[in-house]
Amino acid sequence: MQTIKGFALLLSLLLILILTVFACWMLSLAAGHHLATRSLFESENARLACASALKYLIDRHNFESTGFFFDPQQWNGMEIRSFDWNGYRITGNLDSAWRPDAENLFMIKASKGRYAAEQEAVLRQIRTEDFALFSDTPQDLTTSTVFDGMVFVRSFVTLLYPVRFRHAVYTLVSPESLASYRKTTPAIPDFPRLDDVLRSAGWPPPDGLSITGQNPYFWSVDHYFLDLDQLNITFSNDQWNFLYQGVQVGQSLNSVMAFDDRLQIKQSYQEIPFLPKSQPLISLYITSYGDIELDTSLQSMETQAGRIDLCLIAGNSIRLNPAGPTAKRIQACLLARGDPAILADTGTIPLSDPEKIAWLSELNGTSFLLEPSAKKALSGAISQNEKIIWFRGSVLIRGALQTESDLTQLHFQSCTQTHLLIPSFPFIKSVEGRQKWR
Amino acid sequence: MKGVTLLEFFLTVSFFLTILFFGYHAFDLQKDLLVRTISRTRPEEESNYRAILLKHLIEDSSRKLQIDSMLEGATIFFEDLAFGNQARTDAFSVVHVQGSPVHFLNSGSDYTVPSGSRIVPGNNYLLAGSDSNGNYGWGYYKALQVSNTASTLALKLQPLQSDPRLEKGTLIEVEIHGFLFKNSTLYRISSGGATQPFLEPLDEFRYSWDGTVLTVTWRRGAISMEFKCKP
Repeated sequence: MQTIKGFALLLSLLLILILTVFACWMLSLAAGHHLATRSLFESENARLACASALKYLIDRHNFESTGFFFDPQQWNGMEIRSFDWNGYRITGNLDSAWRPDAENLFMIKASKGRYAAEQEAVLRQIRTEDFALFSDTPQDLTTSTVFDGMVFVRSFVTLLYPVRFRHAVYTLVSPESLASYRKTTPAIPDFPRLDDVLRSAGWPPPDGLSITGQNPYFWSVDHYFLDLDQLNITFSNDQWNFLYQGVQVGQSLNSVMAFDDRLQIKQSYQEIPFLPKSQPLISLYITSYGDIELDTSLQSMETQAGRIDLCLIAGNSIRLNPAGPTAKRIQACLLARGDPAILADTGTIPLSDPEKIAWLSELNGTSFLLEPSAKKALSGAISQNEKIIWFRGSVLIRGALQTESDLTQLHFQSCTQTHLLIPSFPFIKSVEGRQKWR
Repeated sequence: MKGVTLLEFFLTVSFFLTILFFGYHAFDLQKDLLVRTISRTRPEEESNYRAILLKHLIEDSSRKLQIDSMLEGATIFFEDLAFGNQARTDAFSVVHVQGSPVHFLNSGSDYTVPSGSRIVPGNNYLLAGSDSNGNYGWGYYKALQVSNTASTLALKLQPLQSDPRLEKGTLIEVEIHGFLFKNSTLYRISSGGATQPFLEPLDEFRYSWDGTVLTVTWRRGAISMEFKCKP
């Protein structure tokens, strides 16, 4: 009987063993199946966590007083101090020390267990040249306008006609119904005032060419007069040499011409070449303690030294004189510290046919191509000799922008060239189209 | 044999052998069941993995066009392998933007770009800009030849679709990735034209494109996969 009991026990254990092995197999299969499905979600979640952590860091930098990317407490050398974000461990590093005026490569990684996602982003400090219009006071826009560049207007901007914003808009727009946005409106950082930006940079730089005491090369009756067609600058022996009407008028360490009184500028109209004719790109800063008056359209100067992009800085107003053509295109960064800041008047001389062709050709090389109705309106205005002002460099103003009532087209485009003597804002952005998953 | 008859002994041994036989059979059945279950689970794992690969390849591809405003109007998803010329239900292609944007000018038979631009013969490029009528257009081209001139590069480009004859605009290097369902296999077609199996075997593959969202569906036996992504 004992033998049979032992035998029954053995059989029972064998049966339990079979069931246990089977259960283990099934559990292991279920775990594998679960992992296969879970990897779908976790892989997506890691990416979402990585992307949202990057946005969080940028927002934290822009909206917290310490500024995450400039705060040494947040960094171990080139690496950020890791932190937890929505259940993921966030790590990141820069490829080199932060450069305020250039692009910075930043790698960010979100990981949880065996799941991870890593993104490469190009970060850059926001600069004044990123703005098509930067204004320290509220503005009224009295024409239909296209903004090809970021817009910041302290307080609000009032529209009377439909306005197209192609990039980020940092202001309140009223009425909203007249605004058309291509990008979502971000939160508004506390941008410093232009005067503070220039003051922090010690503007004007002491190492420019000072033109004072009614300098005879430039003085005309009661103001300075600068014909850009007669100006040439070269660089040798670490100095900028300024030649005007074939005569060397001075040398300086910085490519700055600082006039101590009202300045009138003119330049012959040239079509802006779609491909730059010369390299390198040079910034020429022309400043006046008083007003700057523009008689004509302006464009970058092609010289043997390279392409010279203009940056005009007026202590008071920048005036577009009524003496010139009906349509003016200003390819220069304008910075005016007075109020009104810009008095935009147009002339009475219609564009010649070659000039009209050149205007239309220029139009075809801009993002107006992607705004067919605005392009048609501007083309029609050119053909009909209507009054047009097209700012093809950033407009940075402290006071009001005043335009004449007969102006039919007013458009703004941001600079394509960085003017390094104007410092970057302390805020950063991720350069569009440059993010990469690794 | 005390206390046990021969009959009892034979009965016990027979019972033991029966238990052993069915025990072995039970293991055999479990093994069979395991193999069958694995054969269903492994493809699911593979299917999920391939779904992630495909989704991540396609998702947000168009974001890189934001690098230059001129490029943003171009199309990067096509419902065929011929840039939208012959829409079909078994194939699609998506373009990946690489490199940096470069301005170009049409100079008759050639295109001109600034010297120092990185243009590689044999690679594909997206050109977007203005046509001779001043309208916006875009097109895909293959670089055939690059030659230096005084201060620029001259390019010979072969259009990969109907040539929109662009006068000036922006070009950027691209990779074109195609997917084709044929003979129960989903093939991936590389930028250079090489075809390799991406997922097999499949009983069914289909996709739908509403202009913004791509929905991909495939099925193999009881395993089915459907996911959406925005190129």
